[in-house]
Amino acid sequence: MTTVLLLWAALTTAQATPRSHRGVVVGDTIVWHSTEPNGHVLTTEQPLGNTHTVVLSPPMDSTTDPQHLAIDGMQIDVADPHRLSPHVRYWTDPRLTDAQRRRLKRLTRSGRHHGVYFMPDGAVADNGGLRVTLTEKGHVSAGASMAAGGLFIALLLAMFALYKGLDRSARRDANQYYIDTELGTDTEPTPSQSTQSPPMP
Amino acid sequence: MDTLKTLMHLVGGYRLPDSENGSARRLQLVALAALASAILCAIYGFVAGSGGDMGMAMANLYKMPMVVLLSSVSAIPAGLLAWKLFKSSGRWTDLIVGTAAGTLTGSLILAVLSPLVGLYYATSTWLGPALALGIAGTATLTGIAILGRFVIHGSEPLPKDPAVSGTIGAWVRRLVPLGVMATIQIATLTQLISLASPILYEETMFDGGVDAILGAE
Repeated sequence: MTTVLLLWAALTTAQATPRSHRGVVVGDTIVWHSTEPNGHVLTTEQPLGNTHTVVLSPPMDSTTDPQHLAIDGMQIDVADPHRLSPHVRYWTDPRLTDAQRRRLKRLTRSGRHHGVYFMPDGAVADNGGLRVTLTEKGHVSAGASMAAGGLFIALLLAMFALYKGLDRSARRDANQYYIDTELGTDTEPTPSQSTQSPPMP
Repeated sequence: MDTLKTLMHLVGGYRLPDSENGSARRLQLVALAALASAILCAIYGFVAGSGGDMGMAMANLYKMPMVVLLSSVSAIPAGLLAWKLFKSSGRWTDLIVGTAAGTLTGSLILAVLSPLVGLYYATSTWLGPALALGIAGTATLTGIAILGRFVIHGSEPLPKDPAVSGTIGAWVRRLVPLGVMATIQIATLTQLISLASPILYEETMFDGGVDAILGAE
């Protein structure tokens, strides 16, 4: 039973853990659908790690009303979206206003529900688009995850063993408590107690 | 049934009845609380992971208990060391029983509110994830508060008025281990969440661990 549990934990942990290296994945591609300003849908295959320009509607400059800003027609299809990090970096482009930064952050977050994953690098492209870089999420080592899983299983087993092992001692303590409290109050007074005379006033 | 009733003594972090306050029984309750917490956290994990696919929900059956229990356990050694260094009053097992009480109470909060999380996850992409995170945060803070209550009012309750002459030191000596434990637990919890991510379908600031929270990633 323990072996099965350990194997299961190790397998699921390994599957859920991203690869341990950081950076560009060479040869791994994503399918990129982009709607051009003229309405054409552009579908290309791009390797992860490339920097792309996302079409923004309308093209952004400091005068763009953030309330009307939208990321238009971008969708990335990936087999395992959790391998990509949509972590939004700080928006450092001096051309952006605070309201635009907040709006863009909100837009990029809302995209996660629909499988849109991108990593803005904080800069606006010359054409008013948004520059994004897709990178693999990979700062967690599989070894650490497996160690945590193993520790957890060991902890559960230890707790179970502790509970069963202390059963006899706990019962003995409970019996002693019963003797000391319940029986102690109902028993007849000892001879030494009964022969004591009450204190004189 | 008696065992369950006994376990409920721990919820809320109140002082254990004298009949349940023997050393062996206290440790037995700790073990029982840990096992019960694992089950309760698994319920929440399954529901929170159901926002993604079934694989994530099934993986959360062990991920969520792992994160909660390992973070709780990892705080105990540092807390005990602080307890010893500051010559805190009370029994050393108060820290362990308090941790178990806090973990159990927090896990109960997760489990009883998991139907709400499940409902909102299925019907709202906006509030569902926020609710799941909010409930987890509430459970964590409640668990730490319960630990504090048990440590302060544990086997040897402190005077109610800390301003009474000579008792301020006793309060401080008992609160320092508590602060150490809370700090270690939160620090461990943050990285364990990162280790176990994805737990929720959505990316959160906790997925990247302390690097993402502090913006160093």
